Amino acid sequence: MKKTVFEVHDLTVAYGKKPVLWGVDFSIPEGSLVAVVGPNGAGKSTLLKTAFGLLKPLSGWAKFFDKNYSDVRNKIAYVPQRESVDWDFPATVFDVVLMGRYGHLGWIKRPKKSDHKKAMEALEKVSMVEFKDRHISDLSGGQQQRVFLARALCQEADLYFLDEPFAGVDIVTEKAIFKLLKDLKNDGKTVVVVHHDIQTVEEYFDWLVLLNVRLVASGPLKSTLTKENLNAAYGGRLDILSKAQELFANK
Amino acid sequence: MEFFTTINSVYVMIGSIALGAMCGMLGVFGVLRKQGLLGDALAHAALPGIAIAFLIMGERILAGLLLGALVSGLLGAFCIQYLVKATKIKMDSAMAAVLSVFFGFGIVLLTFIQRLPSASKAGLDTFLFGQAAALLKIDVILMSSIFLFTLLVVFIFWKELKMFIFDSSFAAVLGFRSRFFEILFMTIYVLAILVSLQAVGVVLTAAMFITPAAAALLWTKRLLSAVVLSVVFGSISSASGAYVSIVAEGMPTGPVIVMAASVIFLFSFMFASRGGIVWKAIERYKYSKKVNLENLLAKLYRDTESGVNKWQRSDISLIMLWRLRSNGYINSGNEITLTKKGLVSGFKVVQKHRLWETYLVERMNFSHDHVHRDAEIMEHLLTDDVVEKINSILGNPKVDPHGKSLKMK
Repeated sequence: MKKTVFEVHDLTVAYGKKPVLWGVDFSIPEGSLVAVVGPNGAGKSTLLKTAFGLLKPLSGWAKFFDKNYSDVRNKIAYVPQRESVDWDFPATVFDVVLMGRYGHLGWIKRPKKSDHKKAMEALEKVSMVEFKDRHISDLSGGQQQRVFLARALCQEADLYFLDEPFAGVDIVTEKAIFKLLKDLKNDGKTVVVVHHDIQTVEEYFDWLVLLNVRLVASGPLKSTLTKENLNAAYGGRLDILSKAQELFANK
Repeated sequence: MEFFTTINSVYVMIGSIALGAMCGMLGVFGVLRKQGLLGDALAHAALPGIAIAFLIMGERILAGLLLGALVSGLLGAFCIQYLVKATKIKMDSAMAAVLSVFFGFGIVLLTFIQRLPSASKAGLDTFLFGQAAALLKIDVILMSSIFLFTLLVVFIFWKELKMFIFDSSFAAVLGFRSRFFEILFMTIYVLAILVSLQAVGVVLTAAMFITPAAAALLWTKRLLSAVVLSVVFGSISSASGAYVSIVAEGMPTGPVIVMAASVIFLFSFMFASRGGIVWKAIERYKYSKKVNLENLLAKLYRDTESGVNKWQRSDISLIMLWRLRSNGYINSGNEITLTKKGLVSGFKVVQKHRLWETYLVERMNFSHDHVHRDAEIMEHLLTDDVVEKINSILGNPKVDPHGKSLKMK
């Protein structure tokens, strides 16, 4: 049995009064390539934000390497959704990638030569070295995603979380990103990807977390990617659940 | 230079430049955080605090007035936050509403104070539009120290500023406390607004922050150079405002500073490398010149195809004649004929047009009466290597969908 690197227990989160995650439990073994899949509003992004302490849960907890997030922060890298930032911000590709080192530096300390070197190595891995002095608004969607990925890579983490890294990127970038994720897995790292495209799950991942406010299924891809589970996540039961959400919000 | 003879003028100048530099510097962060209007709301909301502080103290002590400004400014900010949180009113409406209520109340109080018999009331209305010439040595020392303080904070927390403004949730995930950052940033921002009030006035303080920064961001794609440029712009505007305020008595400083900053902004807007409208206009003009010439060459080539290869001078305008000749496209005697170069160039335009039509019909499933307009544009844009590629994709066709030749005559 492999070590558990990420575990969520009885996690319930609500925006206002509307629950978006409801008593969710699952755990992820080391070295997996995980897809977190579910329909819009299933709470996928909320799950990550809560795990990192950006949102406060009503109940439950998330643990990383059996510890609280704040104790193992430097072993975890996070790639937020590309649309979550303003790409007109005056910065170059290299500036943004270097931010991946900031967590190791802490307040006030400036990046050193070794940090610059690590940022360059990360740029190399995503084949963006020639763009290093380019302004970030001059990049295509796929290139922006590579920049974000490079920023995460130079965090040198053991556990990677990516929020919709394939949204709005071209097929070449999608393949390139996936190859990088696979390399990470082969190096013994764990990668968790919030993903919306159920079509590509089978091709890319080996572990699945199916979510729709409630946890629908979680486990190795083969045993979880079943018609019944997909129906349960995307199909009929939803109506009653959203009705319940509504009732709860209006109580 | 009679101007620098009074020592006070020197102080006023130093104070104003420090002010302009500080506002320019912080303005870049304000603009990038998209909170330009928040500064405006804070400044306007400060007015009643100034008036009330004066009424309580009974005399004009700057530190006391600024404390009053701080309290009512923060109260204004709190009201805005509360309105947004507790109602469906959006940020912009909430700011507009709060700003006008506070400002209106401030004006009422100010008018009331002006009717009081007390002698020391003089000068409170400078807070409306600012009066740099009324700055005293002690004010200037206060301004300069606050400028140095904000400069130090920006220098020390440069990395954090950059990261939080670009991607605040990433910063939080890395373990940087956003609460601490917010407090730090708002502290220096509010301090800067407060010390600007006397020199620039509550009405126009926000422009001191926004205008130089917005102008600077038109020129550069690096944060550091944007900040440096904005500091320069802010200082220049501020110095000109102070100068006018000293030389022309009674002239309000704030409006002059804002005018100067706006001139810089206008200039940047027209000429800045990132999309200045003047450069765009020049490029458009150049392009239309190229299009005109190419269209004429294409027409001459098509004439040649149908057997006409001599033209009268009167067929072509003087300017176009001159341009054709200076490019070596025509021999001009009494009659005009195309040179070899002219013929080839004309053919190339026509070829691109017809080839593009062919491509659209063959590969993109357009019907042949739908493709002319698009080809009119593409004939000026396609490059030789693209032409080659299309040719090889289509297998070197001989005629276009309208039956016209794709080979040179």
